[in-house]
Amino acid sequence: MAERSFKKEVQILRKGAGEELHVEGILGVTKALLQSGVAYVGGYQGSPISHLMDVLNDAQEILEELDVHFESNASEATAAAMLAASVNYPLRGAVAWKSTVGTNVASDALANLASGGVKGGALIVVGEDYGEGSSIMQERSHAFAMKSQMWLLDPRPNLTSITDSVEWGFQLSEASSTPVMLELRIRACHVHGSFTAKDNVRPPLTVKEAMENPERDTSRIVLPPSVFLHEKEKIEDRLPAAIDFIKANKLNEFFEPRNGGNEKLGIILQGGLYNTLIRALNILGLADAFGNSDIPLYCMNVTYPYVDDEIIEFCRGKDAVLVVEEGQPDYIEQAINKMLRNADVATRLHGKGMLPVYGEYQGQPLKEGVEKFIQAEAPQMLKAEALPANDASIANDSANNSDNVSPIVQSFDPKAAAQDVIAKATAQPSAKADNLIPLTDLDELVPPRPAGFCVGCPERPIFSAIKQLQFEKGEFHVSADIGCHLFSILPPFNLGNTTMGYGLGGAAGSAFNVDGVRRTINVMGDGGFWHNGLTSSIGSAVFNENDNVFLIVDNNYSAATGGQDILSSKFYVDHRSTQNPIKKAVQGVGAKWVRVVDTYDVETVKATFKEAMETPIKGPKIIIAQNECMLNKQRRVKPQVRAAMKDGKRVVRERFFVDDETCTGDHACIRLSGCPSLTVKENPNPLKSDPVAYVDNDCLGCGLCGANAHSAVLCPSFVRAEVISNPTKMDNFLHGIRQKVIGFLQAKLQAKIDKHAF
Amino acid sequence: MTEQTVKPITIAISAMGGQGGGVLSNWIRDLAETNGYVAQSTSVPGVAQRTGATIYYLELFSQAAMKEADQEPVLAMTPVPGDVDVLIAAELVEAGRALQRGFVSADRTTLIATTHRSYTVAERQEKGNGLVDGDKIVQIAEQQAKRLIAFDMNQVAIENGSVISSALFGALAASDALPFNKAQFEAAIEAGGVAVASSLAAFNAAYQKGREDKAQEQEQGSVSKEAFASLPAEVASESARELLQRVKDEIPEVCQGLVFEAVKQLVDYQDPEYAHEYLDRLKPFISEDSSEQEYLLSQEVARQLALWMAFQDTIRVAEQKIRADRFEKIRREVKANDAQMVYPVEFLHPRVEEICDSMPKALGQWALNNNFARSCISALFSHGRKLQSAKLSGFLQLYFLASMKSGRRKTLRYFHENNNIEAWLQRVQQAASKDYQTAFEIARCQNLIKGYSDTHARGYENFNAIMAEVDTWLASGQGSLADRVANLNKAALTGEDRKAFEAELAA
Repeated sequence: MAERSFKKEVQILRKGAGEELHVEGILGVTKALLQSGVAYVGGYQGSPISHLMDVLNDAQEILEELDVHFESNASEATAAAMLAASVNYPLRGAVAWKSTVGTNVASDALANLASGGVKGGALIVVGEDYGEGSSIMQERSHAFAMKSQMWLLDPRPNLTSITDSVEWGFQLSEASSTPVMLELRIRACHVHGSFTAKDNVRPPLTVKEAMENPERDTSRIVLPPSVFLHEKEKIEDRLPAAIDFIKANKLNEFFEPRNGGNEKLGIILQGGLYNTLIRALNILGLADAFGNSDIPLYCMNVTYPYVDDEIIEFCRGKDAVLVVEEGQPDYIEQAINKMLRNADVATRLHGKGMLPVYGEYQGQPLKEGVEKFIQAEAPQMLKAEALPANDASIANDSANNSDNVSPIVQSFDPKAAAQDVIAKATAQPSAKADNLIPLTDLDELVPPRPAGFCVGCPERPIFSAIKQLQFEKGEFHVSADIGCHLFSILPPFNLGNTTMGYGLGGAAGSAFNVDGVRRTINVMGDGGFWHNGLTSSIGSAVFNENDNVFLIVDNNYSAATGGQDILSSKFYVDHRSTQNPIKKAVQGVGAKWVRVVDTYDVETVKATFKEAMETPIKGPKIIIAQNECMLNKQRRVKPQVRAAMKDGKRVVRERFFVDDETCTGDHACIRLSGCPSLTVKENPNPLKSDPVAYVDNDCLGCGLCGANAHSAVLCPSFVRAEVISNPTKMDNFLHGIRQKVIGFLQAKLQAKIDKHAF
Repeated sequence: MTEQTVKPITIAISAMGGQGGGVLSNWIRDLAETNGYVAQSTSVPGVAQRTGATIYYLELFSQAAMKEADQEPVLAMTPVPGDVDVLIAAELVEAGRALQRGFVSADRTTLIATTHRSYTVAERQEKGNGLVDGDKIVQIAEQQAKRLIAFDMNQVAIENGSVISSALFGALAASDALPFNKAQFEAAIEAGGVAVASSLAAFNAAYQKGREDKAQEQEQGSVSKEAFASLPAEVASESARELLQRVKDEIPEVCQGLVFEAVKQLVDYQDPEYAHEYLDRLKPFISEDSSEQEYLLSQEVARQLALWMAFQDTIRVAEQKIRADRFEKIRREVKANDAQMVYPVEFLHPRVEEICDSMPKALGQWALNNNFARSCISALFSHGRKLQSAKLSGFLQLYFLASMKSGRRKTLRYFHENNNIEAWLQRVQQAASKDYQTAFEIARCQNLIKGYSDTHARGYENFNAIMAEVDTWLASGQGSLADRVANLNKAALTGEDRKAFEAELAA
């Protein structure tokens, strides 16, 4: 059960030709797959591609109607390997994952797939998690396309272009017997726009039909001597076929300049950057809102392979061309330089010399880069009124240097750029106040707000316990993993030394398999565990008699990616086998010391870690800490509670409360929690200045505050309030008696106070 | 239309993950699409968004302009500094972040910012007051935006049983920044179909508020202290009257409010006699202080002494927990209605030290030092207790403990605290004759003694370490020790362990 349900939206997948669909990019891609006669789909969740998997999951019924098989693959490697079905059969297959991490995991299978080549179209939708909001290392998928000779699509980020690219992606794949990657940047995956639907197409050959009529061709298998043949095919057959297809179908776009434009300049760009570039040109007065530009554009909707003829043709006769290529290394710019050199075209080529060498190409850096380009090559094109006042000085500066634009490494500092923009804006007469507070003051006023554990997250208590144990035992080396539990590295926990990849938390600690004063803690989530951690981390640790502590966070879902089900999910799930306990799996690979604990029971978690640290028993000490992801639990439980309340059933809601008179404002509780709902407020005592702890109304009553108050001996100000709705007769009876007695005694107390009343 | 006027309307929403920014952008999109505009929205979901800062971005484009040009517009995916028409901030610091990133420009941007705070971990985890000055962010917003609508939209949402997205939507409607009327906004909420009634209520309330004071309305975005109330003319009891008279007679006007508040708290804590004792203790400081110094030292001593004299012992905690107004406060806080019952469960974990502290001095000392007694008590109190304070057994236990108040002066805890208070007062007084500022800093050090158990012990440890230096200085020191004490005080409140303090101590 994923965090977000698409049950309603998936009905859009049934729409037929001519209907205009208003959808998110990901849903558009799914629809386009069905329109392309895809026979099987799969993948592995991870932002920004999670919703694609969620949509497919929720569309099971529609997929079945079309005889499309959907597989929730165990990992990206599994997904890539599944494309093997397209090697022998003319089956169209598509898989999706987060890149580059997923592509890393998949690369073994991808390389094999790309070597033998495919008969049916094989499409890999990669959600490029690059730039703002990214949670992974910053790399390019481009390199994978080059190294394995796969084709890489990077369509313009509007729904029509994106959905079209799915269709011709399959065609390109089939025309050149090569798997094709469709790269979608994070905001393109989630862009909400519209496109015109086509009818869904049943696969001409279904997976079932293929399975019942096996075919084989040993020349497609990666084994000598075929492998040498494969390399020859890649260069001599598949690459030319791909280039012919791209040219014939005009997959890359040439945009002629509008009237009065400058034919002598040009910009070559990745398709995915088109909209941002047009906005940059628009702000500079060089294009209108419809994309009609003063400068000719060559838009690479296929960023690999390069169509040399097209590029050379575009550059020939121009004074200068700017390459807009996001990320590094600058593969495209390097390649174009070589093309022009070989073709003896003298056009000046600019790129990373004017644009940031690294980092996301958002509007501001593109605007600045294009401005530099124009300043250097045709400064007269920059209309004065389109520019902020102070830009004139920049214009003069670079005009003087137009002959030799500095090739030094450029990078983009968004903060500095913002200050620059504001400085310009406020220098205008419209700025209101004379006594402007400098914007640099905001540096002090705007603390960072990184992502963190949600309210009531069941993973938080584990790290509260580990932190408390650290007070006693000294600091641990903690090998972290991918997943929500990675938030432990942030304040207030500050736990975690490295993270080496999904399911590799245990593996990353394997060098420390020696005797030491303190054992290391190796973290993994259930998602990572089933992805590959069972073998890479636990199996390896058992085999090597690793003596350290292994924590497996078992919250019933692959929570970080959006709460998708996995093998050990606690609930019954249609079409999938769940309820397979992690404990049995680790025991199955030979683990001896295995404990299962409830995460909210901080004292037990702490005691279990302590025991794991101290036990003389050899081999990995495996602690499986269980409790359900709160986001999912809320989604599951809320409707039930609402229904019970409505039916007049007795319902007890719990939440925490802090006695603000008792709280001393030292915030020790917050340093063991960080829960968003355990916050602070003004001290009610006018003699005290420190804010006191305060539990806001988002509290879900998870119990961590109380557990911490006990296990860390915090302070007596924590209270769990139990709110009883629809009390029973018995409740009312007892409540009456209690009220009477307590009321009497409270009145006595009040009388004493009144004696000295002010 | 000229080229310049054919432009999309750009809207950025600066929010925190999980705040409903998605709902708000859906509303805006629907609003635009049903009223003659094409709309595009983007966001960055995923794990990166869990409670963290994030930006939703929308562009709206007139269909009429499209028809006229017979072309599709090219809409951007991210906001460009200087190119944002409307910036909606769903939290005050997030408004600050948007300002920092240049998304608010004086010639163009309507800034709709709630003034409520959702404190970051960095602010909350400080040992003292780590909160940023929200008012200053509002001031900067005022200066930088073309138009600012700022009020506590979260409060408006809560008051109307809704969430902040509805209130933000209402403020957006009030701003007239978009070419749509109020009814069209409301229709978008209705079309959404989720929690329509409460969303509309919050929408309307925010719309009204936005209209009332379009220019701006600044509200408290940060924790700040109120001044003390002035002295009442009359009080309710004879004992209170005596104390009021003493404050009037003995305390200079500038300190009266503070001292009277302290007196009230100490009567509540113990009895009128205890408050008289407080005034007695204060007397020498007042008499040696002066109006040239604005009685700064006296005020600090008055404040810190009152807090110290009202140290939190088990008796005090028990008393606070059983009061009728406290039960009412909990009911209010958890939003219980009249038909619901509320039962508080108190998380208490008294240790041997606290138990012995509550005993009469001699008995307590014996129990602490006698291994057998100690281990007996320890066995009884090794685990935390969950006490049901609104059920009979729990209430009675606390009631019994609270009734020990009259014997507080005989407890071991009182003995310790009283000795420490006396020693500290003496140091402040001696220091005052050497260096006023140093005395002030010594007085301030009481703020280090707070928390419970380990935190409390560490606080005392730091306090004592500083007092040891103070004693050396009092005996033979030259010049002022004020900076040294202030630095040590600051270091003691920095970081979680004693590293910063130890480093400062060695410096």
